[in-house]
Order: sequence, then C-alpha cells, then structure tokens
Amino acid sequence: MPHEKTPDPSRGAAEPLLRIRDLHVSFPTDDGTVHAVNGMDLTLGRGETVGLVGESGSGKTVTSQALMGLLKETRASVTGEILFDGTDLNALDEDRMRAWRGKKIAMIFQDPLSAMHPFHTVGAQIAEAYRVHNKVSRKAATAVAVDMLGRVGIPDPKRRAAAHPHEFSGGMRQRAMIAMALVCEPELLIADEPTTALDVTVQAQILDLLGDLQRETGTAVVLVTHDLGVVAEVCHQVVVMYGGQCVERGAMRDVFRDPRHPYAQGLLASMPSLADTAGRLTPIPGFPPSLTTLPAGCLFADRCPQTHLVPDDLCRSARPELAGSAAHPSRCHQEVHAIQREAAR
Amino acid sequence: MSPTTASEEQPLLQVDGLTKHFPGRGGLFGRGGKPVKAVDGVSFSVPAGGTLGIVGESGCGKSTTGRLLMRLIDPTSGSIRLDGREIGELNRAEMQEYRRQVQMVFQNPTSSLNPRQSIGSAIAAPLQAQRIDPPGGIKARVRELMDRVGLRPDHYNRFPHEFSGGQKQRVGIARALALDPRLIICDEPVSALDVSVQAQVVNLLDDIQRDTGVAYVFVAHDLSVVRHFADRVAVMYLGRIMESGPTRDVFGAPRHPYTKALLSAVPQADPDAERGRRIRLSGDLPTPADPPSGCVFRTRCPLRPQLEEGEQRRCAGEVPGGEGGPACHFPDRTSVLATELA
Repeated sequence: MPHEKTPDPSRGAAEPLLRIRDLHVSFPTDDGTVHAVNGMDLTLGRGETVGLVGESGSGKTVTSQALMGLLKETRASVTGEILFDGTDLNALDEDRMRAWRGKKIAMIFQDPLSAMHPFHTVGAQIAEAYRVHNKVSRKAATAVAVDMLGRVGIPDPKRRAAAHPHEFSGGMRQRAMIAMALVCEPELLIADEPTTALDVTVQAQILDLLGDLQRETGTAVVLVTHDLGVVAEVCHQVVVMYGGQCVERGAMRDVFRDPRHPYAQGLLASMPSLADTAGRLTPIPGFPPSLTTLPAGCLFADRCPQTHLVPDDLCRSARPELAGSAAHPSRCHQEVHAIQREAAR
Repeated sequence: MSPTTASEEQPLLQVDGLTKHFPGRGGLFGRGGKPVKAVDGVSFSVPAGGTLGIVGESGCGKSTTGRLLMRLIDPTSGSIRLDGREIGELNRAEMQEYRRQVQMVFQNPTSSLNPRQSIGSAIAAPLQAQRIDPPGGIKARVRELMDRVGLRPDHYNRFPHEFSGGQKQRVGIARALALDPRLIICDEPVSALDVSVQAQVVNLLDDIQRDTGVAYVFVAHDLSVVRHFADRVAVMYLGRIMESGPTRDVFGAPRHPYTKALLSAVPQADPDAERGRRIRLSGDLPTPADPPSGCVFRTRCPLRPQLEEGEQRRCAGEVPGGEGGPACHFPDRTSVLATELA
C-alpha cells in the first residue's frame, strides 16, 4: 500500500506545517459588515492535532473555510497570511488552490449526507477524488477506493463501494467521507465538527479511527468542535476562539488544567460532567457579541466577571493582545498587566 | 383531577407497558412491511416534583415516549396514568384539563415559535387557548412569566428572530409554564444551545422546579446533562428500557452492559480522566422493524464473547427485569466487564 508515510526528518520541527498570521475575514451583508474572524493566529506542526474550540459564531468554521480556500471568489474579504508549508494559500488564485485542495489539504464535514453526491456510488466518489489528483485509470482508482473503504473499517468494502450514500448509516457515511478525504494522503486534514451529528458510541468509533489513521499516515489535523470532551480526548494543542479571535492557546493539558482567559475558565466551568454530583452549573452570563458592531475593548468584556481586576476600565477601551508565556498565551489585560508588573520590578 | 390522599405513595405519572408500533412500509401498496416497534413495553413512574431523565441514542424511542406522554400520538397499547387516572379513558373536558397539567418544551426553539407572532402573544397563547383569565389580566401574567424566565419586559412586542437561541428557549419555557403545569416534558431542551448558554437554561429549569414543584420528564442524549439534572434515569435501547433507577446508582455503578458501554463512550473534558476504557460496541443499531429476539441488545453486547453457548441461548429468550432492575440475564458480569478493561 502506498499510504505508509514517515515524518521527513530533514524538515526540522522548526518549520511548522501551517502558520496562520493575523487572519481577518469579513462578509458584507444587508445589515452591515460581519466581522467573523478578527486577527486569528495559529501554528501547527506536522502530525499534530489542534482543536479549535468555541461557541456558535466564534469564527472556527470560517477560519477552516479560509484555510481550505473555500472563501475565494466569494464576497468575503480575507486578509492575512495562511502559510502552508511555506506557501501563502491566501495569495493563491482559485486555479492554483484547486491543485492543493484535496491533495494536500482535505476537509470533512459535520453532515456527510449533504457533503456527498446522492446519485453516485460511494466508491465512484472516492475514486473520483483520487483521479482528480492522480493520473490513473478508472479501474485502478476504484481499487484504491475499495482499499481505502477497508482501511476506514467498512466491512465488505468491495460490495459497499457500489452502494449509494443513503444506504449507509450515519457512522458508516462519516467513515466513507474520511476515506474520501484521506485517499490522496493529504498533509493536513480539517475536520469540522466531524462527530457532532453522531451518537456517543459511534462518535467514539470515529474518534478512534481518526486517531489510528493519523498515527499511520502522519497527517496533521485541525479539529473544529464545540465539545471540550472531544478535544481532551484527541488533541495535542487547543485554540480557544471567541468573537473571531484566538483568546487562548496552548498544550491541551495546560489549557484544561490552568485556563488563563476568563472565557476559557467560564467555558470549562459551565460544562456538566459525568463524574460531577448534583449542584448548580456555572453559566457564563449574557450572550456573545454582535459581529457587525464589535465593541472597542475586549470582545469578552460584557460577559467577563473579572473586569474589576483591571484598572482604568481598560477592558472596555482597549483590545488586549495575546500575552503571557509563549507556549500558553491568552488575550486578556490581566495577562498583559502581570507582564508589565514583572518587567517594572 | 383532584390529588388523592394517597399522593405520597402514588406517583404523579405512572406508565406501564407503553407501546407504540408504527405501521411498516414495504410490500405491494406500501402496507406489507413489518411494524416499526418505536416504543416496546416501557414502564416508569415520576413522583410529583421529581425529574426522570430518559437517555439513549437516536432511534431508541425516547422522543416517541415523550410524544406519547403528551398524547401527540396515540399508543398502540399500555397505560399512562396521571394521579392514578388513565388518560386513555378521559373525556373531552378531562383531556383539556390533562393538556393544561402536562406541557412540553421542544428541542428547536426556532421552529417551535411562530416567526410572525410576538413573544408576548406566543406566551399568552396557551392562556387564551384554555380560556383562562388570570387575576390582573393576561398581559400582567405574561410579564410575570417573562420575568420568571429572565426575559426583559420590553421584549414583549419583539419577534423571535430578534432573539438568540438561549432566549428563544426561555420563551418556550415561559409558554410551557403559563398554565401552571404539574409535569413538563422536555425533549432535548438544551441540545441546540452552546455550553455556556446551556448551563443558564439548565439552572433556570432547576430554579423553576424548586419554586413551583413541577415534575420533569427530561429526554436527552447528553448523559452529562442528565447526570446533573435528573434524580432518576431510564436508559433506552431499541424501544425498551435497559435499566432504570436513581441517576447516581445507574451512572455510578451501571448494571446493564449497554449502560456501561454508553457511559464509557462519553468524552470527558478532563485530560487526566482514565483513557482506553472505552467499551467498543461493534456494528450498527438493528432496525426497530426487526429487532433481535429476546434481549434486543444481545447482537452487540460486549458480554457476548464471555458467554457460553447455553448462556447465549438464554439471552435469545425471555428477558428479566421489570421496572428498576436491569433487563439483563447477567448483570453481575457488567462490573466484571469494567475491571477486565481497566
């Protein structure tokens, strides 16, 4: 099988696979411009898994769409750098992007039924994805597709390849979509809420499968999810998003053990846990900001229980930068101040 | 429906052998198929002021059970009693009274509100439908309800599209509360909401129960929310209850292998939680039109490899358990299942 891939040692750990710098995405609408992503930064090494977490409207899906080049030739304005293996994807035109999409970067979606063509067989769709980037006969491509279906754990792959998407169960469909995404051995897989529509027992199967395939192929994964449990289960790195910004990032364990940003703290505290005995949940008061009229200060200030700790009402007048330790920074004035105080000492 | 004197022993809601078979499709003229056994002999009870969680995966019949309780659909067989009165035997006026006492909160707060009806009039609608004239007038009552669920009085004349998902769910709850019900069926009331907002709504439901003594049947697939919210829980699979009991016991020491597998599959937002103890369920859910004989879970049961041939035959026969006990021949092996995987 041509799938086995070992990480290339000549490409040192110094150069990450993906580096997003100061990404901004906005959409013109009848109600004004929607600022969906407002200065997003992200770094991802080869073979790593990063979890993009945040609530509806935090910009995680739009970030992954920009990454995939899906916002090109739309009305969206995308600025900033998306360096993939040294190439700025944002500067590529649609024709060049098409050569990368599917080949080097692939994506799986929440709802496989709407992401697959209802009329074509599953095998034919996977074979087509392969033939777009590889000059092989239809027959050879079909053989690759059947092999791939077997690798994602679909029993009797030869027969199932001839079936249509609607004949598959939800979990099987998600497996087929993973097969389609990985058939060209991409270096980066973007998984946008891949298990949200699935039941927990099926979700567990799919997460296990993604982990196994990743170990096998060395593909890096951007996992977009709102489920902190899924993140704790599979991610090395976490980026917590709020209002289209990264408000905190770091190693998964550090972020869960010692969340720095009040939003990240609130998010973790508001989650009911299976181990938890009864007691009140701790919600975050209020609602996320409107993305058409962003506040001047910190985007979380209106819901933040800690603004009184920051002098001069800075939280409402100035937007904080990412600050704190390089490995685990957060976008909070408290972090900025702690640094200043230490520098003054 | 006056509360009986024996109300301490008598639960508010008593359900026995509740069954709903939908006619199957297939065959000539689309009538020949086997019936889909969506709910198949389910029994449970809910005390006044208590909360029963019904959990399970898609297609297990939990939502159908909720709709049967609301009498949105008629059961094939079985009994539903509120305060000891069989609801299948109620006359029109009594049914009207039942509908006042049992209310529902739906999963999707957007589609359960009329986009062209203001929030105030949506909350007033149940009062008008039941021709109830509260002291102080309908408007005052609606304002009081809005205040109760955390909506501002100036929201009265606004429309659903001006609200976030969490606020719309508050409207849904206010509307369910309008008639002072004694039981509210909540069908996935928080699963469409973000976690931080979900916690707000769960706390609100909690407060309302403490203040009014309303009972809940809480249908959900999110086990963590149910663990937090319900005193008792029933775990459903393929239209049947696999196990039920106090939430603490069922989740703390599950006796049915399905409960155990379900709990082990929930991802924990804790980096130090024990990993690798997931019990993998092989295969897919069988079709409810043709469930396995005997124990419906036996085709996917993680205990199966340990069972001898004679024991497997027992699983294909009559299943033990009534209300409370696990519907399993070998509940003691479930705990063994855990230690072996640990």
